[in-house]
Amino acid sequence: MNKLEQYIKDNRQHFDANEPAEGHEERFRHKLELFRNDEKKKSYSRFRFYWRVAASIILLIGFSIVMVRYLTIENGQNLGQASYEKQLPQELKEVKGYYSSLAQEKLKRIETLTANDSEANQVKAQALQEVQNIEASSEQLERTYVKQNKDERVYNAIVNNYRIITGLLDRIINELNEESIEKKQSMNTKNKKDETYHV
Amino acid sequence: MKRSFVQKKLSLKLNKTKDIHQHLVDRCKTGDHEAQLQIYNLYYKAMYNTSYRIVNDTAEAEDVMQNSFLEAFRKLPKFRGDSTFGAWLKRIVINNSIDAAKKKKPYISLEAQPVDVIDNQQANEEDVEINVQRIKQAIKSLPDDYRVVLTLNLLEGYDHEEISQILNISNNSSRTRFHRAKKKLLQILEEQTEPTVNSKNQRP
Repeated sequence: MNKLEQYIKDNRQHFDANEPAEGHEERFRHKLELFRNDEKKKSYSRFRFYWRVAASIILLIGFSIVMVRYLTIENGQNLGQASYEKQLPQELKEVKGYYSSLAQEKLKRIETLTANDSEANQVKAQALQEVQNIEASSEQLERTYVKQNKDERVYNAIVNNYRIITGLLDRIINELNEESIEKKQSMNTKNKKDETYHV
Repeated sequence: MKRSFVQKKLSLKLNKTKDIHQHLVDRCKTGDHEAQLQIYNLYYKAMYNTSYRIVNDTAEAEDVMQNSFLEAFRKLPKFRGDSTFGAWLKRIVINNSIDAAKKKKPYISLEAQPVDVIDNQQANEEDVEINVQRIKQAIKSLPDDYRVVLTLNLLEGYDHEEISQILNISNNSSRTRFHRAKKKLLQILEEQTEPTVNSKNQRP
């Protein structure tokens, strides 16, 4: 090691003697405060997003199962279920058909909005359990309608149920759209900030 | 002296258990505001000087240094303790400082340097008057690419293998830049020495 290198090595601590401008700690406290608020916001936003994804998956899987069953009955593959379906009055079949096609369109939209989200898989297990509950409750309502000789109040309850679910799907689509717009805006703001910072 | 792979691994293991501020780092992981400020007060000066030597601007060095602390706090849950917290933080500061310097002024390539001036004017190290202030001033006036390699090696303690990774250049380029930077530094110091020769080898 030559003279210069040895000298620097021996006096290393004196090379870190510069101090930032006065008030640097206050400036850092301010930055730290903004950072903490930002982290809290992000964490809340992530929670909201995953809640929405979980809700959409529950409905998505639920409707998929209902649709698969409906279609297999139509094809005569599930005779036990088919005989139950055959017992359903015409007006109920029409209502089911109408809302099923409506729901299918909305589900396709949700599928597009939640595509490529790895975190979504984590809530699948919970979602499946919820789906089973929804299914059981729906079938019970339809059986009651048949048993109680087409009680109009039960019919209205079934239709109302479909409307609520359609409304729910709309709300999820809106929220996912908002999330996507928020993300884009946040990216734009970040890019602008970066540009300003480096000017 | 070059350390072997086993020595390096052993040193990493030792560092893992020897981090004297581990309790503060652990508190920072939970988002403890006070611990974050304590960590800042412990490390800000060293990190500021490291950044300043790269970006060569006081305001920018402060900005980069403070933003690096925030980045470290954000990434802390991913910090595995393979190195000390200080070494890990310093690496973040260095990377951010290099990014900032690049955005401000892209590095001039070594090929574009007037190599003959540097190579033909070899200063005799024994005749050059050195002290901390002179060296700091001379380092400050070095071209960006020379200054960065020289300080990373002599002051931050990185070897050429590590510098080549940090700067994304070859190991040979790092060595060449370093030797040329040192020559240039001695040349500047020699020029500074000529007017005043009465305080040779002054201590800081």
